[in-house]
Amino acid sequence: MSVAIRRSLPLVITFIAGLLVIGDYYLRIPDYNKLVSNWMSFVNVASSFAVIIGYVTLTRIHARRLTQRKAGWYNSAALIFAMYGLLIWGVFLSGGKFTADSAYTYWFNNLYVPLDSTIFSMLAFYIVSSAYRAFRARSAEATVLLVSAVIVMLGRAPVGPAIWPDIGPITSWIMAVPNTAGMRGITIGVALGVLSMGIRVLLGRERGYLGPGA
Amino acid sequence: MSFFDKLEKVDPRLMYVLLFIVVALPLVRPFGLPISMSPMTVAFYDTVEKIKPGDVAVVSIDYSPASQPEQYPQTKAVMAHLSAKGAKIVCLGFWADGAPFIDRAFKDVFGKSKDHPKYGTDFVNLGWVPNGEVGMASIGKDIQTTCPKDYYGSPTAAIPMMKDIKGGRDFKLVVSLASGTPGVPEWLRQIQAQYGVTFLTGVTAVSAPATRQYFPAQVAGVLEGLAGAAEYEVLLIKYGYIGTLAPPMDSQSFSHLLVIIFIVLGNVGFVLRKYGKAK
Repeated sequence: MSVAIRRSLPLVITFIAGLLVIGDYYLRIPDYNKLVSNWMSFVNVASSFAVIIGYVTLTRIHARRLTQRKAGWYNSAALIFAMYGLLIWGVFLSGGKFTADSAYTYWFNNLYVPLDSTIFSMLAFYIVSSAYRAFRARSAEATVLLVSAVIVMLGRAPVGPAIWPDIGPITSWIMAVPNTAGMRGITIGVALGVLSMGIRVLLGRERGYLGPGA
Repeated sequence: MSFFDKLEKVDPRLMYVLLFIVVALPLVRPFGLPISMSPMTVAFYDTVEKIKPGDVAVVSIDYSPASQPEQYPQTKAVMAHLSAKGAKIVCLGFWADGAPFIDRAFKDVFGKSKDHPKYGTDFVNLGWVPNGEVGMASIGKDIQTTCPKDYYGSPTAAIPMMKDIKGGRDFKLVVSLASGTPGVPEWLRQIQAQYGVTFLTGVTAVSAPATRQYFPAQVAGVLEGLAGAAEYEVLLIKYGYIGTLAPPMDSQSFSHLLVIIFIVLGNVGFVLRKYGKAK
């Protein structure tokens, strides 16, 4: 395959695929809509193969760490054991039930769920410590942030309205007016950026997704 | 070290111990602080109230076990409310490690999952749908091709309630319980905007400020974190729903108070030290 084709073929595929899906939003032609529906199912199936790549990459990295007895090698061993253990159980030993299998569900509910929840819960300790250090009235802007944070923290927990009933409406106003105005501004700006990036990708001006040197 | 310096440099270990106490104590011995109502939760509740028997409601579990303490109570309450309204509930998830919560919620809310006599006629579990936003677009176009089997391996086309549900045009309501990507913006782009479906969401408290911007035009109501779930539980009492969130909300109240106390102490130390230096 010549270099020219190798470079231009992905751009042509991207352009056609993009137009196909965009056209589906505006056109009501049953055969065409069915074609796009099948195309999206194909994309779903094709993307699922990325999981295999993920498995291969993770295995290579952690098997190397394990065989070379690098620092924390036992974590890699746990990862490989858990990853392949659940894969083998889910696919081959579950009798076709896959993740609905009771043994699989047992490990999910009693190992993964508590571990993941615990790690997330640990954040509470760091949030207390960092809020204490970060919320200092060093400037007018920092003071506004500090006061807003304290009001919202009180207003969104039952203790706030129990102490001062009017804090609820004030909290709602902070969330609904300044917060929403700021978030909408950011979102509209990002959306315009995404739109221009999408047009650049479709027109072949943006080629970063093809990898280095494209 | 002066007294003001000490106020500004409290040992983090002291904070951790105090936080542990104020979180754990109300769980052991709840105080029963009254739960106030947020307009977002009321809007959420009112929208579900408008559902008529037989309307199709899609409930999407788009979170992982990390946010389960906040979002699983939302999930159970939403399913109980939709069931009380007689909706046909189609459950699925775009987060691989969130989908197993559907089966658990069926067992907690209805007593059984696939063995329940109403499974397949009133509620169904389509499990995990891969590929995020593309998967959402796909279910909008053709849910039966995208999810050929349910979570338990039965062909979707053979499930009685799925016979008339082909895609986004058949959805009356979508509820996404989301804590990241894919989540609310993806649902809005691929389903709400394209098919004009009423959309509700339950999010973690930290995601609430970013989600509020879509209210009320795109998102008809939001359950904001544990507080939103607790408020929703209070509204569902009239359906006989028994909530579990009063003690955790007490914990949240006292942990918020603790953070505020430390912030005030730190600022008192900071201002007095600054003032003292200026003098």
